[in-house]
Amino acid sequence: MTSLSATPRFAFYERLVMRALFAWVVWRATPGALVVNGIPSPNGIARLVDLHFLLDPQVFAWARTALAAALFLYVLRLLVWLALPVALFVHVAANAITNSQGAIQHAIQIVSLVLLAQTAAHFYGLWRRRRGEDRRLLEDREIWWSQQSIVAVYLVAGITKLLVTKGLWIFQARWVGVSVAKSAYQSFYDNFNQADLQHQLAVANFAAAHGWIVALIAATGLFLELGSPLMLINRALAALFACALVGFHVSLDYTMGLSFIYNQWLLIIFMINAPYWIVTAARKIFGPRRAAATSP
Amino acid sequence: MNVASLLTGMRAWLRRTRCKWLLVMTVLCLVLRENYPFSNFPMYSSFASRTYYLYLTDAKGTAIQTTRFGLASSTLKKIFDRYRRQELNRFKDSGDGRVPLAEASSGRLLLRYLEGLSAERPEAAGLLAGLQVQHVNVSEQDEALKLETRVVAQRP
Repeated sequence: MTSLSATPRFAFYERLVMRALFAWVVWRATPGALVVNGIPSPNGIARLVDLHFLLDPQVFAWARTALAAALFLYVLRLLVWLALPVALFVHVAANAITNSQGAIQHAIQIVSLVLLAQTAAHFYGLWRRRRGEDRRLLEDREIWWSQQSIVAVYLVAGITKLLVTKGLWIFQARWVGVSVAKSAYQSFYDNFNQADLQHQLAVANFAAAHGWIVALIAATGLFLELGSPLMLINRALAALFACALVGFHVSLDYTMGLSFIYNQWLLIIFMINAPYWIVTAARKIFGPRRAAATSP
Repeated sequence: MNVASLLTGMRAWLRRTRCKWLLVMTVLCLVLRENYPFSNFPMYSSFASRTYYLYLTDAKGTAIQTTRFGLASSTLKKIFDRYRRQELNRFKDSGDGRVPLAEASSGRLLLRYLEGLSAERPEAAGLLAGLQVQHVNVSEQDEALKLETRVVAQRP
């Protein structure tokens, strides 16, 4: 990823690892079965398309099979023009149904948006290729737009905090203890894990008693969200910032039980991009030695 | 600097920037708000000194894992919230009794929703008799947390 070219370039091994891991994330982020009570409060795509046909377990089983086949083709980079729209439709439709129960969750949108970005980038790339663009840019652009989608999720979350609170979010954060206690009890009534409850209540009580320390920590989180576009400058900033964001997610998981696991995975796959750093380090360490060994 | 030159400058910047997709996604998410797959990600976008959560119990008040109905407690609350908004509108002329009436009605609607879910989960159907929705207020007073529990709805 260089900062000079319009679309950053990625090596074959990077693209392959990203495709395989992202396919796995999409598979995991798509419900295995739709245990719902109809579509009582249609949301998003469920407002535009009647998705009731997917509530038939047999139809949904077919849709899951189609998704598996599409993701397999996607990883192999075969029939991508077909694989991406199929994967996008099944994934988004299934999650739109689960989000149409009158309760909207925010764990999966990031996966859907990255999948949408890759589909849009692919078709835009096909159009550009007809106009003479280098064919190697096609997949690089899909990754680049994926990275921008990830950044958009954090940036929008930060902007929304400022809009909703008229810029006073950090000051309101001193009441985070109340929210932590609510989350703690909600998790407890999901799994009856007494140890987790005690741990999270200790955090909630600490937050209630030390509101301004909590506000300071919250300010760090807001800075990371609003500063997330820095990840698009170069590989090093992407990796550093993404590590900080993953660290923040891990700390929120520890204190509030909010893991946002798919955010973490997408940061690891597209921003931290460990294969690049491993190969680069290996080349630095072993490259000169091999060069010396082969020199006359 | 006048508006025309500002717009020209912005247009030139938009042509140059490498991050057009970031702008597109940011604008779409902020404008379309909660429309899956888009979202303006409002979770934890504001905090208050009081909130509440719900949990389920049997007729004797013994807690039941919400997940036995195939949903999480956070989802249970969001579904109740949707009914509550709808019922507050219905009881808007009820004066002081508006909130208790709306919450009692939302609790009954929530129980009916759970009944619908249990049609597909035989193990949940056995939990319906005497099922109660408990409403817990969480607030912060004098740097300490305070909980107040009451029953908002119960099945016969």
